[in-house]
Amino acid sequence: MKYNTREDNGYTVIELDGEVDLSCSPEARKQILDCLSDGRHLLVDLSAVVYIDSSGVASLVEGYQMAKKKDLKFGLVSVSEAAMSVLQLARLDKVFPIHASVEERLQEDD
Amino acid sequence: MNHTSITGRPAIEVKDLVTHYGSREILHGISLTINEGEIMIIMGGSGSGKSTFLRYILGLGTPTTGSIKLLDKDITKISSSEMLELRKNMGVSFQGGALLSSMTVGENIRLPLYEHQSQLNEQTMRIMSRMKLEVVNLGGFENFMPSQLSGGMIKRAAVARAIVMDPKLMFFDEPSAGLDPVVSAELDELILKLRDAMKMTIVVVTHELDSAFKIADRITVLDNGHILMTGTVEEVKNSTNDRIQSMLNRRPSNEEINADEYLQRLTGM
Amino acid sequence: MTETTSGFVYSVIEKLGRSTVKVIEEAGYTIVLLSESLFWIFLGRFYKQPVRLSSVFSQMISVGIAAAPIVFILSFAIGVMLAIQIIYNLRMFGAESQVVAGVALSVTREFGPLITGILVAGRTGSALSARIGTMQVNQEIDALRVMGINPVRYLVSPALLAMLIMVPILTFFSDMAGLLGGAVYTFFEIGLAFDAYAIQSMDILTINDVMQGLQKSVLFAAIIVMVGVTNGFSVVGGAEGVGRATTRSVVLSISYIVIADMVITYFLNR
Repeated sequence: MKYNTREDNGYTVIELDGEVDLSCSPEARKQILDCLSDGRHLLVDLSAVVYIDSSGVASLVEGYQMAKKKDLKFGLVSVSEAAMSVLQLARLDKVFPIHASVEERLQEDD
Repeated sequence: MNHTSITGRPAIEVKDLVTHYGSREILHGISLTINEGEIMIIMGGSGSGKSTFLRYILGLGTPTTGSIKLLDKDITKISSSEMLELRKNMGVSFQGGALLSSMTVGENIRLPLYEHQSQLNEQTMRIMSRMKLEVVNLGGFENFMPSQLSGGMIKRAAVARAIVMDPKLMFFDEPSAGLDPVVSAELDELILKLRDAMKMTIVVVTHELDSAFKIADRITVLDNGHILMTGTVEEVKNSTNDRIQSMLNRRPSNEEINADEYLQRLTGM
Repeated sequence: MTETTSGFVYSVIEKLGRSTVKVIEEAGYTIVLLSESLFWIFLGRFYKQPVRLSSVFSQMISVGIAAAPIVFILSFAIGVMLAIQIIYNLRMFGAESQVVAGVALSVTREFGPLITGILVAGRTGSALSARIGTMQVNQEIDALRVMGINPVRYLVSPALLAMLIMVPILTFFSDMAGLLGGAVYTFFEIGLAFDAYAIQSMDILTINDVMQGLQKSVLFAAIIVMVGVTNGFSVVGGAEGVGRATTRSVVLSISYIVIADMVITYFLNR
């Protein structure tokens, strides 16, 4: 797994890339939670994720919960098909705010 | 490694598997290849050797001869530490669920994580186990003891435990045994969902025709420790083999009797 | 006539042969289980598969703390009985005051470890056998194995460790209770004060006396666990099989304890 962090209109965007599995999900979790602890709004870009396992999804869940608690904005953007089917399995596609792109999210905010 | 659906690459390769129980030969040289992302149903009546076959591909017994390759590793040859690594990629749903009765449902599901992924944060483990409970429609049953659940719920909880590590290989032993038709159909749906979402390779041992036809990519029919045939649902349905037809039509088979052997069994001489 | 007799003899010999093979097989299996569980206790953590301390502690509590009241009562009763018998015997020689030595030595060297061993065999040995047997029948053992959790490490090692620690402690506790029983009866029977009884006991008892009992109790603990788990893992045939295994493990472990006790006592006192 690789990841990339950038700033976009008041959001921090974390792009996850490759396989998010047990071996690297603790790292992804740390990135997500650190970012939110700093009080930054967060979008996680899953477009380049070819595989995500439940530990990876668990990190996203934890992130979303933390964002809600701290009243921060959180969302998943351009979710790849592979990631989407895993989210759907636990019906999390109906729980997370999911957007086609960062732009779409920004428009919704307006 | 990629995670696309049926790639045609073998996930499980069994060659010339011969097993004994005491001095009795149970499986007489079974060879079978199961591809990645495939749902393979192992069918057969009781005494056909299907449960024995499952035990051996799960590495619960040592075969007399033959090789069993799971994810390119021959489990009859690898070291115990390699086997341990392999086991993290295998999930098994046993006939009766086999949840540890001394633990809550949640503790049962987290057990593989505690044992093998202690680098994970406690909260992550909890979320993972709860997610799996949601997958099998048992959200909120985390703190129940297995004895407080119905048979169908125990089976689903056992599936949740089996998939908590997101295994690549998943095995079901008689998933619909003892379940009412509705619950059994739900379990079939779940098996299909798991394959599609998690790209698992799934082996189901069953004698339930309806459920087999619904979920199978291919079916292997075992009889008396031999493979009668391996093929798609259509191929099995159209088979001209008597034994298969009598199984499909639920007719008792008219077995020929070897008079000498039969007499010997009766008199014990 | 001769044919049936020889047939009978043959079948007896055959049965004898079969059961001998079975006994040897079982002994071999027990030794394998014992070495495997010791392996996990000492080396498990180097293979990233440690024996869980939490499990050891919870078993220690159920083996030790929960058994303490009944151990106390039985050992106290044994102490009283010993005092009754010894005083009765010594009265013939007019040497009742020697009762202190009799009780002290019998309790610490023999009855403390023995009564504790028998009690723990009935309580914990049977529970262990029933638990593992039930797990075997319900495929829970298979489930552990396919999850990559070694059943010996997970089930046997913690029990063995807990017992090796707790049974000697219980035995020591039993020694104290037995001595107390002796003291109470002696006080009422011949009017020997508690403090005098205690001082005399301390004078008579050597470290060796107490240690001999504790050494035996370590062996008893191992016997109880190994007999219990061997029978548990060997269960076949559903709930009935579990019942049979449980009964068998209690009878066997008590028998082994008594025989081992005799042999060891013989060698330790030569």
